Amino acid sequence: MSAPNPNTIKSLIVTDANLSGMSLATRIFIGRLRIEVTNNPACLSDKIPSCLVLWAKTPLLPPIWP
Amino acid sequence: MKNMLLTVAETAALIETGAILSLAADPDLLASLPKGNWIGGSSVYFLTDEGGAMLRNRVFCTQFSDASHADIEVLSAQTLPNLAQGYVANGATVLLIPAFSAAHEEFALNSQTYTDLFNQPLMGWVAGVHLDDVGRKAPMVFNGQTGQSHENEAVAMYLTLPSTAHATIDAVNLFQPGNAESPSFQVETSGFGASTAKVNGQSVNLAEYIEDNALDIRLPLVADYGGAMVNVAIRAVDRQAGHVSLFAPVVAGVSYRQARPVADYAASFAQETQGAGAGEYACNCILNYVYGELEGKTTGAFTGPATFGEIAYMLLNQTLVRLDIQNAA
Repeated sequence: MSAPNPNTIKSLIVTDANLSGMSLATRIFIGRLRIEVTNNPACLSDKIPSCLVLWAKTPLLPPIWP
Repeated sequence: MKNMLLTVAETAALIETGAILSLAADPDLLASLPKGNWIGGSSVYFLTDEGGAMLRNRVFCTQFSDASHADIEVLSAQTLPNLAQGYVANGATVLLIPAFSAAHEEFALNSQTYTDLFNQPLMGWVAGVHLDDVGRKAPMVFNGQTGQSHENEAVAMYLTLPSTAHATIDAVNLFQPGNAESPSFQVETSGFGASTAKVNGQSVNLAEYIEDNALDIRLPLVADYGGAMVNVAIRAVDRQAGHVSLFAPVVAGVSYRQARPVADYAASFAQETQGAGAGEYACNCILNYVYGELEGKTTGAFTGPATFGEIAYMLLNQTLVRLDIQNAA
């Protein structure tokens, strides 16, 4: 499985794209990131690397990208 | 997985076979059981095949028959952040926490920041007491391997599953936040209570606001986590003290709306779950049991304890949480 594009993750966080088809872990994880970034937009760039690491480690989160 | 409502003697016999078990019962019953591969939490309210019931003489028993091994660990508020260090490859983890304990508060406030928390299914529940005993008796959890009870620590069971098995976790929440015209709540400080809050952007005393507007406190505050609706149940409103206490923390910066009413909890659960639930590990909130008048009523095919909080990676309220293990073998 290919790694997600950082821009895909970024758009998932900064938009309110519907995550209802995704796993509960994904919804909670992304939902939390959205809240953090809404409250502190400057932290967005810090979140992307940790997302990539998480996606690489866990089978729970994909597929989120086309 | 197999769910059973057993006598103490039947449970003891099952433990002696070496079965891997999660138990819910009156703590006196759990304390009388032999040591073995089990964890347990105090609870006397259950959703059974025959409907909701308060039982002091039965043990609700879930057998993880697909699991090949279980490691059990007791975690304090200080060591809970290391929860995921115990995760095993292709596993699932069950976490039981005593209500109103330091571990409860720690997990509620900080679980989503724990390293690697989301790497595998994490499901569990918050142990309680009979509602007449709230504030008089302490909820507790048990490590069956030692037979010891814990009032202030959590107990985790790390399940090892065969490569042919796959665990999934989900939450069933009957509540939807009110529409855009309904008031939006935000707090400045995260915690299990709030004195002031911003309602539609205006700072108010939350207790006064709730009473003056006659809000039905049986309806939780709901936040939208990317489509996952996360409830915070209201525990009490103290107008004199100007304080509202909650069963889960409200988080600073998160926008909450009070839920829309649910007319018939039992029918709504049955409709939402479409007959699923048999053979799954599940728990449902004690507030759904009480407010939904579930005594004697079934909630689809789901059975399990009625709990003081539900865990699906984070602490939830007024929610049904389910863990399913499918084995291709």
